[in-house]
Amino acid sequence: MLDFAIRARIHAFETEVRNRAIPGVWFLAPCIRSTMVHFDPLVISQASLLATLVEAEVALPASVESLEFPGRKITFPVVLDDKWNREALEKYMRSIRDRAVYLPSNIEYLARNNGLKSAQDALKKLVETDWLILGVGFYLACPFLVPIDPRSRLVGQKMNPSRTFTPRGAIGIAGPVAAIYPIESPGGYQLYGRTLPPWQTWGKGRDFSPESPWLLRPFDQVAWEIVSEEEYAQLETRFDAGQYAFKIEDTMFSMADYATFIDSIADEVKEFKIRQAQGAVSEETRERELFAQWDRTRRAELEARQQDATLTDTTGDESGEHVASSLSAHVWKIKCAVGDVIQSAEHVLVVLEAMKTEVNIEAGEEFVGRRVKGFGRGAKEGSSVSAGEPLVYFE
Amino acid sequence: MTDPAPPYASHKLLVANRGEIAIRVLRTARRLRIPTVAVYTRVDATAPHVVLADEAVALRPDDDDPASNARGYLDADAILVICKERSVTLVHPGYGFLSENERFAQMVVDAGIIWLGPRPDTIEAMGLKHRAKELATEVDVPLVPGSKSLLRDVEDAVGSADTIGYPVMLKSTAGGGGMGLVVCYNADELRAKFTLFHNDGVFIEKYFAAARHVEVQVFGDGQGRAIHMGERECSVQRRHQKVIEEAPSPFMVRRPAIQQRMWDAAVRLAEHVKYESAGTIEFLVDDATGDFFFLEMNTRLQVEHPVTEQVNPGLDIVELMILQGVTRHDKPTGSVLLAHPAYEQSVYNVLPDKRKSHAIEVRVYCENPAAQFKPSPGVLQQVEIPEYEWLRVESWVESGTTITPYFDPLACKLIVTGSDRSQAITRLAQVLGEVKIYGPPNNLQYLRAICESEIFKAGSATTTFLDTFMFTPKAFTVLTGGLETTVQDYPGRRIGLGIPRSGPMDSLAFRFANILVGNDPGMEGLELTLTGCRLMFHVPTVIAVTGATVKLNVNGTSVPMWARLVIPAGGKLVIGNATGNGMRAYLAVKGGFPEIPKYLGSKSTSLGLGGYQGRALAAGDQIALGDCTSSDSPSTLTIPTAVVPSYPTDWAIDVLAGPHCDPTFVTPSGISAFFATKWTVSAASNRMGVRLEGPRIEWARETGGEGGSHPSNILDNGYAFGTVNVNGDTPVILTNEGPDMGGYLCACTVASADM
Repeated sequence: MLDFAIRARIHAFETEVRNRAIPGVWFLAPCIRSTMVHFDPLVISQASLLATLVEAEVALPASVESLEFPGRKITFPVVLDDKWNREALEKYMRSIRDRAVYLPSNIEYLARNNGLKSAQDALKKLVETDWLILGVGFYLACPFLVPIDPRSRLVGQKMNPSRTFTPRGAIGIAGPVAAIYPIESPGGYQLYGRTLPPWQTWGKGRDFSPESPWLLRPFDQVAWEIVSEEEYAQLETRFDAGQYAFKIEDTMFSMADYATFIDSIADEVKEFKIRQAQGAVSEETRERELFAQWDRTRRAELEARQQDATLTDTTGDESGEHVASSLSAHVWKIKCAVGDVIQSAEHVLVVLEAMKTEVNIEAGEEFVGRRVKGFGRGAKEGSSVSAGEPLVYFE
Repeated sequence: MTDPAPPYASHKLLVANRGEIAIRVLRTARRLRIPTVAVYTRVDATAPHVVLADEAVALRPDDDDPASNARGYLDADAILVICKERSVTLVHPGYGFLSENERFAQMVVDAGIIWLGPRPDTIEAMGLKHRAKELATEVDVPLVPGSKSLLRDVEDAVGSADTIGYPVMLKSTAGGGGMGLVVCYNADELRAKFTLFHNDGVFIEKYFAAARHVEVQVFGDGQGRAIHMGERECSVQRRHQKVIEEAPSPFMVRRPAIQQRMWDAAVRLAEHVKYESAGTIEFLVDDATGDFFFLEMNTRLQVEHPVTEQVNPGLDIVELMILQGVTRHDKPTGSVLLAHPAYEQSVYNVLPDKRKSHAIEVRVYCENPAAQFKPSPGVLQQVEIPEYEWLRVESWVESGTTITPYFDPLACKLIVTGSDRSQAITRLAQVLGEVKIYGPPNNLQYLRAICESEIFKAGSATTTFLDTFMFTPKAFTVLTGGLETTVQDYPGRRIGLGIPRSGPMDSLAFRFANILVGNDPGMEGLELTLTGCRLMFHVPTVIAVTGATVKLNVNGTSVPMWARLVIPAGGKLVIGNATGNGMRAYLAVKGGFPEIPKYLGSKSTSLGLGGYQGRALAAGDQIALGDCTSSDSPSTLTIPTAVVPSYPTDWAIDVLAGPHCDPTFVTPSGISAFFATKWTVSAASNRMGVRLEGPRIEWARETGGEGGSHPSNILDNGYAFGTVNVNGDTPVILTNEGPDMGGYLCACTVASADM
């Protein structure tokens, strides 16, 4: 269960461990309910490290109720229901899965799944609260954050299967946690907006450095400022040029204040959770059916394709030295035939298409003067090949 | 030099250019407190000239095609619209692009905007070769001796050649290519070779076996007054592309009388055409006699103008261009040359023995001297240029800059100044040794070799010097890259935050390879995956290959793995595909790859970062080497067979159970089954994880609750190197590129020694 008191205790524990500067400890990786200590066993044994960690834990106060945690409040400009995430979803519907409970709109799904009336209601809830960073990790300092206000804690399932593409800076929810994608990447969180990424590869700009190309730390808080797509595009350019400076102020997370706040809204939270649970149940039921349908169709298609492949696979001898696909792509054009003799290293054998770009697969020096004797299984115009898959075989 | 505030209060300057020259012009404008406007194309949206200007306007914002969008800098109409919309009063065109486009200049002038360059009619006249030559002849500026008109026949040619004197050069008006130029040393040769030129228009010119390229910087006020600012020599050139430029000319300083005659000739021509603004008159100089001949006039600010500024302290040619433009605009008969005594000719008539300084400029290009100077676009992963008071840097690049294929691949110009030429050369060599521009290949090593050559040091380089200049890069070239051949080092990154540790998957074999070549065991090397690669080493190099069993040969001769090898200069190393059960082979090279920069503390390639361009090697890539040659005796060194790791089909690995190896998640019998199962490694495994195929997991629960719908889901949890998490129903051993936390339960963690 998500519990701020547990997370706060982890944070206090980590602070204590860091203060002790234990030799051999590379870093700590805090999560929502745990932390992992990465250490060098050649410098410190597991046993003595554990002993030191226990000492640190014992040194903490019994309760974290009175603790305060310093952090920063950082304002992120956000475009809600933006075109980039919608495009990512359209791409997903075209190439991966076209029907799911979270399609065609992740946001409408989030609204239903949390017992809310409309997508607008969902978006409003997501930006009207400040968020607390609970973890920074996974890949490239990706921040994991939750709304401080429990009435804004929307939940959603992960997309299944995942997307192959998510724009950087996309914000999505899975379970009760949101993430901001640091770079363009695959992913499965339910997307609802786009902000500036908390990762700057080259460390450019006031808030980054080449030694620390990430921005966020646990117990930082995030506030949102809604901007338009046009404004975002300009901010993004400034960000990339190292000209953007986030609005950052020092702040304190007080466990006591938080407890008081929770008490004051207890009834509303209870009511929200009831409707949320109802929404989740009906969405889960729908998704089980939709997933089963999709899975059946997919299996049928796969079988049909395999059938087709065995029937048409008469493209010559398939063994020995070959030119392989350098990436996963669609085969656009086959530019050689069995019996062709390669004239030059630049002789184009196959043209692949990936990400709307044509990629020439050249014979390479080692096959100059050699004769084409056959094609790989996937080397058919219109079919797809994966990286490393043989395309053309030589005598 | 001048009081900046008042004269420019009402002005706004647009730079119709990009890269270092845009920044150069903006710098002066900012010093003069003139508001500035930059223009940019898509790939330059975050370029420093855009950041530096007070306003920046996108060119062709609606053109999504990067190649045609990049031609925006040539879009005269679009730039003029921007000038009008932004109330621009001054346009500086830099060099290249529209700088010598008389139509654009005229459009600017017609719009009532000040063109910071020569009048459009001057640009046009000097752009027409025959017209430029006529103008030069009119004021006795000598031309290269040649036939006055096209040759009628072979006898006409011989007649002309007799007048000019041998050797002569036959040229075709069709121009270009090898057929365009033929050198003849006597009449017989001329008769024989003339027939090669069928019906083309052919003419004849005096041929100089050894020639210099010397040019004079001039400045005119448009009223008929002009001055020179001394000469520059640019004899070090490659196919008419200048590589090194200097001021003064080492040739001319030894011949002050000729130097003075050349200056005078340049001023004569500039005054004759009532030249306005900055220009350069280029001469061909006969190395034997010092006779000089007019080649052409460049009606713009030149790339190499900084060397002239460096030897004339206080001179800022861009400022002068602005001053002249504004002065003439305010008063049509105004002359900056009359108004400012600092621009008197006497300032620049410095005799060689009175010269206090010498400046040399090198152009750093992202091009590969080992591959016919092919441009090498890519990301500059590290840019570090030292600072010295005697070093001027004109640059637009920094760590992370992408050199695109759309523009000239000039990264920066380095200009050194010394009290004399020899000090300047010493400083240049020092800087070229210190500058770090790491990314795709560039010409820094080449420039350094030229700088250290006896011919250059002696000031004896002629225009054909580089034609025969031998240069071998300390590097290897990738002929074929294989499936996934990446740069890795050990132990990689240890910073957490989901930045993968990366590094070699088989670190034992990797370290063996390094030990064999005499490196530190963690030194960066290559990791090959399944398919081999072919590499060509330009210089003798000590290497070793370890890991999965592969066939190896050097220049066709089979050589052993797990042994130190010496590849001869120009040798080809062919690493075959993995043949046994192993998947990854390793190549260590003595001295590693010094020009692969560290990213977050490591050179390992990971998630599109680090390594060489953040990616696997591909054909055509070139990686610079360090101290790669064996200094000790060539005794062979091998790893004893007994120590060589084996790569069996079946592996038993030691694991530490937990934390989710618990009946809460998996049934007790399921836990036993998990450890008792002989799992099969899936083909979908990669550097992120080894995926295991086997029976279904016997879950003890229906869903993951708050963590997700699948029983393998948990809220979140840290992952260690070697942790086996269960991804749906697939256990995955998380390896070097694995995540450090996530929402799948973890059954156990593999002991580091077994990874």
